[in-house]
Amino acid sequence: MTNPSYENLMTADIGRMYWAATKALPDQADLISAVAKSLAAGLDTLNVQAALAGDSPALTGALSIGGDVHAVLRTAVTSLNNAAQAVLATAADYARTDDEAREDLHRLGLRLPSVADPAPASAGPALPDLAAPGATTDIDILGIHLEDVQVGTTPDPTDVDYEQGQQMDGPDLPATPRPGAH
Amino acid sequence: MAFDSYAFSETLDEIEKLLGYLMGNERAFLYLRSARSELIQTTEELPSEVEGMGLYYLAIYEVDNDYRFPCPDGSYAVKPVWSDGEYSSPLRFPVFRPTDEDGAKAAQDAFFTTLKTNANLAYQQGVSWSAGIADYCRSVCAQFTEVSPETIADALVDLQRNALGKLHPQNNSDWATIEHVSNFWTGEGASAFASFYDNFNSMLGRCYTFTCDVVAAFGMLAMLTHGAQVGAQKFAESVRDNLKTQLAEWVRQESRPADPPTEPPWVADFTKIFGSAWAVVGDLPVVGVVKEQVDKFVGTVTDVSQLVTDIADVSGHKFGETRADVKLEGAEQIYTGLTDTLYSTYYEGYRSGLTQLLSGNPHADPPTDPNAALPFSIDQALRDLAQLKGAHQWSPGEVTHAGSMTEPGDDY
Repeated sequence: MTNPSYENLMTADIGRMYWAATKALPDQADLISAVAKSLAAGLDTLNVQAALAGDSPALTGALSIGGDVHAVLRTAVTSLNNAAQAVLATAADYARTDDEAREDLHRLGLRLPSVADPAPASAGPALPDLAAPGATTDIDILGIHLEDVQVGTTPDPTDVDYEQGQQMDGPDLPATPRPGAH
Repeated sequence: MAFDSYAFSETLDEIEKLLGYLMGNERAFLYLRSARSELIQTTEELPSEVEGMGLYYLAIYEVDNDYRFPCPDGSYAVKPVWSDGEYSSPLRFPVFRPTDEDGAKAAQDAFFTTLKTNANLAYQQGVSWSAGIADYCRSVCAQFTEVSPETIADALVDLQRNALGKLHPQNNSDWATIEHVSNFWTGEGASAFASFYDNFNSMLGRCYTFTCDVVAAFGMLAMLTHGAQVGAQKFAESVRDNLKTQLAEWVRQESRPADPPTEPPWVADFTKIFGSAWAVVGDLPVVGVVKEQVDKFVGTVTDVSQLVTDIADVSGHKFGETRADVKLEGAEQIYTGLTDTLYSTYYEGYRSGLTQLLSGNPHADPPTDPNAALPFSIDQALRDLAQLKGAHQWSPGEVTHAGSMTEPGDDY
């Protein structure tokens, strides 16, 4: 059986459902999955740099925005995966219960897969709270891969005045020797 | 000019060392001057018959021509000859003329030996005084010297290419060609699917514009950091060079220089740094109503590319220079000028930039059009996001149902 063309699929509702479930929605899921992955990688790097910069509110605020965007994209990947499966199941329902749908399937030469095809895209892991102080990241040093390395927040300079100059009041000058007199 | 954190740290170590030498000179010289004054006063009070024993004046170099302050770096070791700068009267001490008695000569030798030992001790006090200054300066600068603008720029280029560059909304709002069909579904999950599908493009638009905010924020961080780093490095180098000049002058004048050559140190112009940082985000399509107008954000991709290009070229940005109104004469003034400038001009200037990033450019003109996008700031972006969440417009909803969405009776 050869796959019908896009134009042919668009001639019937069940063809549209087939195209949405096996092409449009999975493609979008793959795309958003890739975007979420890139965003996660970028935010991981920026989280480390923000920690090194002292985790000022402007930076942790920006990171929390990035974390919120990532969460939405991650949810979108799962939703797109579920949507593809749901549209497929809906098409199968029509094929089972509706004569016209069955005829369209036959005309288009389509056989509906029973499970999602292609396989669902990965939503990837959730990100930690990026607005929290410090960062945890993986690093490669000289070919060695280290996981979950903690990067602390660079502290503010010491709040105590550094009164180095006052040390001059400390040790007295040495005593003056007496000139040699016989 | 690229920032070299290793070189910067080494420059601070060098400043600590040279500042110790300078303070050592000042302490040892102060000791000799004080000792001479005390001795002159003492001898003036001596009975005339003692003076008749042969009181006269002798300088250290006349006893030991090789004596120098004990600087570990021989090129900065000072021979104390003059009492008050070059070609003033020699720095002489009242002593009693040794006659033919060995004892008198031995006493004079002992006097000068003690004098030199004490001057060395005073010098070492000065050297010890500067210990810890480099570490303190490093801690003041750490929040901008630990950061890598190049790493940030690389991350932003990747975000632009692999995230923003792909977050295009579909040209067709019915991008999966399913809108017409799905209108007939009334089963489980049908309304959640419809809501998700209808709002999908808007979701992409919001993700795009809010990711732009993140890129802009870290772009500003890269620019600010680069400006602070390069400025602090040039400032530290100018302080170090000033110290070298003054130490060389001590050696040349064989005394405390009467008028030490100083040059006002280089400092970065933070006003210009802020200006450059704001300029790179100036064209961003930010916030306010724009976030709700998905159709507008497509046209902004080019601007973001330019922003990222500008940021990626952080090392090429020149922020101008200015001269600090800081006196660099003598060890304590140099110490104060160094630490105050690093703290007030650099650290606080850098933090001020981050505060501006949070609250917005204080020099931006308020928009005259009430419908215009609001100026960029992280606070504003956070407010926009909270508003969208409050109105349940932030997320396009979620499709959790993966089964059929039809009910018996739904039309095909």
